[in-house]
Amino acid sequence: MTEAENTPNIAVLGVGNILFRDEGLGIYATQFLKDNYDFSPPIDLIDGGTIGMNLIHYYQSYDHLLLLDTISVDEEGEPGSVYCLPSEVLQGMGNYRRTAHEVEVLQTLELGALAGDVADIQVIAMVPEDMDSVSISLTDTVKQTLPLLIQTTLEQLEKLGVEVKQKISPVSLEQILRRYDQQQAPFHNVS
Amino acid sequence: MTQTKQKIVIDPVTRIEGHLRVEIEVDENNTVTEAWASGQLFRGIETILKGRDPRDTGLIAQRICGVCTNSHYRASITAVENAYGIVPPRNAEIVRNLVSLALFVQDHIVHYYHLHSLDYVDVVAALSADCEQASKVAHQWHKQPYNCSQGDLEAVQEKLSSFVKAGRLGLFANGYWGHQQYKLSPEENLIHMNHYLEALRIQREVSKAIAIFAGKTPHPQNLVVGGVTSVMDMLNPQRLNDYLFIIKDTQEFLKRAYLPDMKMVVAAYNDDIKAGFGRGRGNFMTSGGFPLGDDEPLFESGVIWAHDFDKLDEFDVTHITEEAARSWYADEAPTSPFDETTEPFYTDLNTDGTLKTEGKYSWIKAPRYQGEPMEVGPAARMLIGYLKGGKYVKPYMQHFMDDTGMELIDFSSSVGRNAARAVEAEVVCDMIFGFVSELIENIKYYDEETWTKYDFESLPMNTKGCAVVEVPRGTLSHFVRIDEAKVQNYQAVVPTTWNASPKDAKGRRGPYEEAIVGLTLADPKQPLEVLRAVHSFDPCLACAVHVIDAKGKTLAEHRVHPIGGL
Repeated sequence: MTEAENTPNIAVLGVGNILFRDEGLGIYATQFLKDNYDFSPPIDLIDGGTIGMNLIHYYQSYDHLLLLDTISVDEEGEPGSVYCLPSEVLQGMGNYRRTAHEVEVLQTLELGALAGDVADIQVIAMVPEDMDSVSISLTDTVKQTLPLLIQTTLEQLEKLGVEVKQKISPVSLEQILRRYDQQQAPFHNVS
Repeated sequence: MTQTKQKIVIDPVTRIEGHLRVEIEVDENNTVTEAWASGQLFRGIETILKGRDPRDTGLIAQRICGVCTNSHYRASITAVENAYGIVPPRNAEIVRNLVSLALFVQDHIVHYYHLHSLDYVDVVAALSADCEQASKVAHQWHKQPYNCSQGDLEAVQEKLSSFVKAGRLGLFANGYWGHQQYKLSPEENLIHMNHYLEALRIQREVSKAIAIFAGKTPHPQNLVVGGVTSVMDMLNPQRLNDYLFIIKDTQEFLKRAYLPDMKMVVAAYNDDIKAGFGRGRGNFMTSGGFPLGDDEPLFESGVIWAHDFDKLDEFDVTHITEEAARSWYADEAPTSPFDETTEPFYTDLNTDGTLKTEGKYSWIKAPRYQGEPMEVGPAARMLIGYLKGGKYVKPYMQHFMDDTGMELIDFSSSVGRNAARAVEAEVVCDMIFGFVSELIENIKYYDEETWTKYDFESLPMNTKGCAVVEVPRGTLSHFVRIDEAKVQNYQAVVPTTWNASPKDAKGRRGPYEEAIVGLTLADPKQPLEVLRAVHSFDPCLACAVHVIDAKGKTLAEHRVHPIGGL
């Protein structure tokens, strides 16, 4: 969490399951921001995975939260479309009767509202193309439009008064994907 | 007879369409005559682990499910340790237990209050409760009920009222409120809802306790093949204190809120319990585990067949197979998980979108033990712990049974599974203190070992291993086969696969299906009884898809369009 007392606590939280291809797009986008930009005041960039109820913990820990995720929509939203929604737009959709067991973002938004004292949440989401393949990677469609999602996130951060600076040595999306695919446990080289 | 039968599709049982669906057939009395449970569960873990270094499987396997991260992480590491014959030091095991057991407590609280209690608790009815009376009622169930003064309850009622009336929360707007099967009084409903809100805070605290030993959240890196990395946390008395403080606070909640609430529900729904609503076939299985310092296990292991409580079989992992006669896979025959393949063979739905109930109808495989479907979870653990005279479980079960008048058979029902879960939360939380004391004793005598050293290069190149562990929802097993020091095959058989299993080649139903058949619905358009039965198993299909489902909402104005050449 940020240290300064009078500046708001801000975080970018990527959620999704990286094992299902495009489902991990929010996580990769978050990592991309972390590797390529400096933020002033500093913000937290979190790989939220699929943590269910624990999302509420993050909602209650910040003043502003940008949630990067996948979304499915009715209308014209073809794969790669980007949406930027205040969480209130999504409220009222966390239907109890239909939810019950896997806790999803919509339900946690509602439970967070009940728990009280939650961040101002903005959802920045993209329509995925492939969430069926088991693969730590992204489709070309998503790779091509991910910059729009990243740009949208940066603009939102700037609106919140965060100054964004590009880092000197850039890290590409490909490098990030490779790193996620080839992660190693600690203690490999101790014997 | 057949023409009076009616088919009902309950989809989604969980939020996402097709995620978990149930189709039932009811007769003219609205009694369920047949059921089909169909789900999407994580598949393809072997695809992604194949060829990896066995020491890294835990990092990937923990991503199978965000709700069960630590469970899969530990099972995966344990399977690899088993393959290599590496035994982690006792202190490492204790630290792992402190995470695993806190997870039991957190999971049971969240499951009961936030994911299931509204099947029994009518939020709208709570709004008309008399708060003074409600406070008195709460004191009938515990002499110091949790947060239940008249003032507390008035504040809760006001808060609920503002949310319900505003209609902002789908959570409260779309239940089957007023359904004739809701049996609590307005005052009892209010007490429950009060604890529902408290439980939001408690579960958050428990997740902090878990983070003390699991380290980096939400994706822990504290476990490694051979032990744990969180050495500094273990040796830091302040961190242990922080952990204990939260567990003590949680223990208060369990004893003064969760258990009394459960006893209240058992009393109100006693007729349902005695009538056996939601009863299954009666095959229960648990692998046991979590030995305390005296070598007595927290959970006993064993197998019960067809509710025969006079005879217990030993549990043996080699009896586990998976088959796919009615699942969307090509490899149908019963196979040991070490040798399974997962080749999809999707035969689609009927043109009207219903399941092809005569053929394949689920993405979930059918795990079997000695060829039989088995129920896993708290009910299995509590029944078997009781029957084996388990030092830790039996007294808690006895106490609960004496207090409520429940008998063993009653735990095999929709409400009964919840009762078993509550008893389990209490015993597990209490036993955490035993593990902490042992750890402190060990450290006091300078036993600070947390990792068993091994030389990877000199380990066998070809081997196999498995881990069978008890996790909140039941028995979890991971199987790994290693060739040339790389993962050659990997399978995870998760608790929800056991319970949500489809039928098999012999047509035997899975536990959900068995629990649903025989239920009589008060109103087929509001199949609350079916949801109670399915939800009582604590289904976790979180591992499937996590997209925000905004269908049915116009969002065009929120779409972001690229500017210029981006």
